[in-house]
Amino acid sequence: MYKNFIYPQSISKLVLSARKHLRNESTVRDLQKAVQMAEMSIVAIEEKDIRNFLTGIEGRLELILYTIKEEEQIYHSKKIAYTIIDWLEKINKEKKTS
Amino acid sequence: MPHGNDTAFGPQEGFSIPEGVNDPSVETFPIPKVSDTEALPPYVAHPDDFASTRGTGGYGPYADGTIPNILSTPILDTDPQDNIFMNERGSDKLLWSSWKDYPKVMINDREYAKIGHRYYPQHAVDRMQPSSLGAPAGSIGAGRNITPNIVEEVIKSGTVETSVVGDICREVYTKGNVSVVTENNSEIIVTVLRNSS
Repeated sequence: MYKNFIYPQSISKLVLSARKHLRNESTVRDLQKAVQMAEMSIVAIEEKDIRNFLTGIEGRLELILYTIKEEEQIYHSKKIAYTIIDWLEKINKEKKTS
Repeated sequence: MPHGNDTAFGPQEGFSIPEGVNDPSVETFPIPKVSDTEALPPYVAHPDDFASTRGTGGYGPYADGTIPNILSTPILDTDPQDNIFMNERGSDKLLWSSWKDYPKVMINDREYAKIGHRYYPQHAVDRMQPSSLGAPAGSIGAGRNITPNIVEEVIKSGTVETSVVGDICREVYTKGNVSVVTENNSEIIVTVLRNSS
């Protein structure tokens, strides 16, 4: 599905983790770990925009963990999970058409 | 390596040793006597002596043209207790290293590394590591390339927002793409992070 990316498996895993988070099947830390794993595996200069996006996402999740009350964290982290899926889908479409 | 007319390797093309060099009775490079060096005037540095180090981070002359006295004083004075390195120009340089290298302090049964005048938990120190080194042991993500001096700069001149988590008031300082989360009047660094640039 994400074969237009240089690291399709990493992207697929990340999207899967984001979906699991939206289904309440994982914690904020689990999502953050998935983002970190994807960020560490994406090293090609051609995909530095994806890496940069993931760096920002990881930072936002870190901020949620340390500055937002526990009961409100899931609401904010779900918004981030949506952002991850939306953004990667958008890039995937762009890559298919180009 | 064959050199000149070295007899072990035979004569080399294009080289010839000046007459008298191999003659032990001829003193070609006289060794100065101690009494001669004592008579020499003390060395006084000139800005041109440092021309090759300008802009390279070396110990060249300062912007105002004055020269660091590198010949007689140590480059760094250290205060190991606070991990502060004071260079000749008077600016503080905080040690940027891994968790095991910092002195530890216990606060409310929790261990902190003391860097400068602030306290860092292991989580924050691990996140500050150079990203090229990969993930520190026990954590998944790579470091964020944030030095203690960057933390100081962000706290000193970044924008600040406060948030209350439980009973704890935390400050989030942001400058550029770096954010620092602190508590206890910014004495404790809770975590550091990079925003997308």
